[in-house]
Amino acid sequence: MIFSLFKGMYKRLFFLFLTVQLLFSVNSFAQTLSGHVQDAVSGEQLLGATVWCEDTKQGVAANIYGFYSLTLPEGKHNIIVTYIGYTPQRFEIDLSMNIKMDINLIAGTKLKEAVVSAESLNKIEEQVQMSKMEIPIDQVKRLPAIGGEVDLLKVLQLLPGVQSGGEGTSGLYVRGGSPDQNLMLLDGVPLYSVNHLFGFFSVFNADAVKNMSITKGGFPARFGGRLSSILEIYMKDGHMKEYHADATVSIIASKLTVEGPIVEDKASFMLSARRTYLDLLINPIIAQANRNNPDVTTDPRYYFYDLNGKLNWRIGPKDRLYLSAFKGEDDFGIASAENYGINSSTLDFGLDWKNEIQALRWNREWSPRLFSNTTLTRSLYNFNTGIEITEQFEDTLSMAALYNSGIEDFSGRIDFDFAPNARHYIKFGANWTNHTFSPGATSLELDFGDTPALDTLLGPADIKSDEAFLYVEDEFELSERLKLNLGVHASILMVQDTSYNSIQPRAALNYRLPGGYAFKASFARMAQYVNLLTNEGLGLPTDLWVPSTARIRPQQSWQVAMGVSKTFGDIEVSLEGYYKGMEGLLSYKEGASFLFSLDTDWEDQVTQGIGNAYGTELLVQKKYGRTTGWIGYTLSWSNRQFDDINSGNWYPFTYDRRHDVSFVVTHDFTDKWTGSAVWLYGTGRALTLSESSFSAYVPDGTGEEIYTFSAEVPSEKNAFRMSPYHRLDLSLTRTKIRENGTRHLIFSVYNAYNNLNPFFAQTDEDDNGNPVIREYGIFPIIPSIAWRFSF
Amino acid sequence: MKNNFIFSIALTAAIGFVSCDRFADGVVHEIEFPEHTPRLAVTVIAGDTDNQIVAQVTSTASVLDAAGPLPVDGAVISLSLGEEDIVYTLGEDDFVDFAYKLTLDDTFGHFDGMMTLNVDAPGFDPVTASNMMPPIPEVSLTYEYRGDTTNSPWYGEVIQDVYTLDLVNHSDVDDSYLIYVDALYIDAFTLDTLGWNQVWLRNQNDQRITQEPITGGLIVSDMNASGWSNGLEDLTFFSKSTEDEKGVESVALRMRVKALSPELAKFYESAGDYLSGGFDFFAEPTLMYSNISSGFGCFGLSSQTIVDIE
Repeated sequence: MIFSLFKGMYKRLFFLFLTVQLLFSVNSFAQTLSGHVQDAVSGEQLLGATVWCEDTKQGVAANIYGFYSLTLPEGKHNIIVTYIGYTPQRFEIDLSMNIKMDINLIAGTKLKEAVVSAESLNKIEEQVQMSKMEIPIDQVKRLPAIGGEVDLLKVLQLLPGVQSGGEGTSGLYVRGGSPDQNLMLLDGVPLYSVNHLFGFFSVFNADAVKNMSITKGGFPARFGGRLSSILEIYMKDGHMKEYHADATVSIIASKLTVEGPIVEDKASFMLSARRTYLDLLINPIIAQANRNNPDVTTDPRYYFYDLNGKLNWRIGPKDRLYLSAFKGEDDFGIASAENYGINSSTLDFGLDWKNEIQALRWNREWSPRLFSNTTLTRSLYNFNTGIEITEQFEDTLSMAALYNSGIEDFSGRIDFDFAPNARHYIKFGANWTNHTFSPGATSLELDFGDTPALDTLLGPADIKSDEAFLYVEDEFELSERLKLNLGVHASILMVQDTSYNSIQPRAALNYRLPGGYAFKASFARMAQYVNLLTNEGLGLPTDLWVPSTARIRPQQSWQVAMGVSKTFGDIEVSLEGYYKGMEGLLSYKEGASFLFSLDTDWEDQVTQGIGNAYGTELLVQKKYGRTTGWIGYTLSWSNRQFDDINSGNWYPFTYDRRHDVSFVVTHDFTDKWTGSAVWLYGTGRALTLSESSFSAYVPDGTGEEIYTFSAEVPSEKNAFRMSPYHRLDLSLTRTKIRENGTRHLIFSVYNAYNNLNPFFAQTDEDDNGNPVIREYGIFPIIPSIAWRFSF
Repeated sequence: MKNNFIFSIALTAAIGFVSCDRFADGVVHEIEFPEHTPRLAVTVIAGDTDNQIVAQVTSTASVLDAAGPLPVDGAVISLSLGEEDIVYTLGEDDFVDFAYKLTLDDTFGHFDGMMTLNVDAPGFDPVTASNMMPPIPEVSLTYEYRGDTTNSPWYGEVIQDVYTLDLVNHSDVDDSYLIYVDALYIDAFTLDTLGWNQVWLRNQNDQRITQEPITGGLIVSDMNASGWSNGLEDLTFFSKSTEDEKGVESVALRMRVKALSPELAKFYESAGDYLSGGFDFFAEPTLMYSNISSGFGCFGLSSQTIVDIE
């Protein structure tokens, strides 16, 4: 079915690939140096490490599995291999034949001592890819963290073009897009909800992660399915030679990461677990309070946990197998009971959500120039909220209602990396995903004593859909000054006897200007077949994933970006401008709610519209030395238009933010003491408020009386702004290295100058009883300590 | 190590203590509102068979005004056919119970052509609105007594009456109808007539039919949520079969079918959304529909057919 629908396009792509193969067919005077770049001690693959030939001034970056392939003319060559945080390795090689060589880099130089090759592909002006940013995990861990709990997504929010949804939340709003437009990949598997604790923390445990990057535009053809960004997070593979453990105790949670060899240099594992313990700490206090008044008891509960695990097995010199798994769950609830003699009543309210992913990956080196990765994955997100009430009088009356929604994906994917020569790097592949959406069903159980018991399920049925795509891209040098990445991504969705397909051209160029400057430009068209329905006024996990259907057309966007970049000494500077047009955006209609009435379909509650986002981003980043960090500034606009919202007029997106500034600095005072600081400023969030009210009526059902009511008149959508947001966070870390391990004592202060930032607004009364509308903040200065031990 | 740890704990506790004061209050600041200029809000909903005209005229109020919207007296409300041929006028003498009410000698009547509402009140800019009365509904009804059973979440198995309705779908306009069914009850002993009582109607998975939450009727529309036009034939809905209670007997059924002007249909829809959303913490805010020139209220017309159900 898929291939019959793709038939014409598939043939054209195959013909294109064949042509490319012929054009770049193996040069008989060229040989290939290939292998993996890895950590010399742990065997961890170093994705993005650069392998550079100093003679030919050609190089290549290792792919996400650490594999590199560099084809050069026969003869002797000087090769230099670099990676951030590792000592560069320089060696001479005689390429009279294809050579397979795994390159081991020694860590320990840290960022401050790294020597950067002048020719390194890591330099921003050398890369064709624009709008992509990576932050080393080592640097992330040294930044201030609320409650001592490092959060990867909160660090990403400090980058230009990436904004938070509100104080303390982990949601990402990238270049005017909404959170569902971000493809969050953990070991290549999409995660649908990344929130713990109602969004205050993300599900990504920094101790289990080895690499993180975000792409905001100029998307290469291998990516698709979302409009605004691609977030790639890779778990550690596990130490191949020794057992290591890393434990952290903070005021919010504790976590433990263990890794080591199963068979030395052959197979390894990594396990990481994290759990909050607020519930364990307050349970004795609540139990004591309940003992004092046993007739009325209240038991609140909240915790979250997550587990990361990975197995890594080198089956042979050309084959590797990876098994990754993640599970995270939040459980919030409150139970109360009242006893009055022989009568009693109980109430139990619960809200929980969980994520699970599993991935099995097989790497294969077919030849020195052809590498493949085959992946089978499963991803599950589930959200439940429910209430159970029991009344015991003469009869026992009980009522239970459970609302459930979720999404489950099964996916298969194959990707090829083909490096025909040093001037071309071709990637192509295919993906198929089966989605099952459960867009909100309510289970009702009733027992009224003398009436028949009811046990029924109400709400829309599950929706199944199949999504597939093919892609091909080639990064190549057209001249010494001009590098290009051209590609095409073709996707299709089949749902409810309807199919949507989309051909998405992708292009990026890098033109070297005089003076070492690089001019970059990109164009990307994207399509998205899954949608998140979310109430913009709430930060609750009431998110409802729904598919494009026969009635709901897919979201689509096109984005063009241009910029210049240059490295001044060890400081990278990049200035980019972008414009993004979006259509098929999905939103609740006015008055709609995720708690759909039982006879109303979710498709009746939504409306589709268009949007745009444009702006300029400046990033000045210092990656090396005793002092590292960056300054980011974003000037941006983001607007929406829906026929059924705001009377059809354009309005600013809720997270339209005109100015966004961040300063991030980390400094190593001595080998023992490290300090870091983060200051950020953002224009206040847009919001809609009721401005006035009036009275109206409708005739009642008989037509003889009238029903009068007072109606509030909202302002134009998002016409008001909250106060600007600004905050300073500080952190100081003392490190002690002992024979039996390394200890870190981390003291951090969130919101150091105690600026109460607005979190929400509500109608209130002043001292004279007159209505006023006030902004409220909930986060004052929050100090915290954490203790970390690793061996 | 020990000293560092104690120092860290002490510092953490001290800063936390200092922060408690602001945490307890939490107010960042009060949001400034532009000064509100009161405007007229007018609601006039009239049907061809009504024998009373009700006009509600209030002033808008800022949300920061504790008194809220207040009725405006001294207004002159005129309804004219076209722009000059005044048909009805309501004035200060008709101001009763915070609204203007004019009892008619006969019914309101059916008017062809555009009707115009003009409201003039001292201290306010005059407002106006236009509306056209829809054609009198042509109804074809099939009724099946105890024709179906269903499982209700609340009552278990329920026997229900089945109504199948055909309405005229005018190709050039958005047709909307408001439907009620009434049962006539008598006292079983004295045989005195107790009056008409509204019967609760229920839709079953027909996108053309939605529940009107304020009055309990059903709204039938030829446009579904995606804006696609549907026919208005074979409209099927249900009511729980009427059961005689102790001393009370149901002796007749009737269906009232009101054709709504498109503006009145939108007003009903937005009022329903607004009022039902007000109780739902998760609901998006609703903007009430208005066709009054000030932007507040509605002038809507309807025409009605009553079908006796055999």
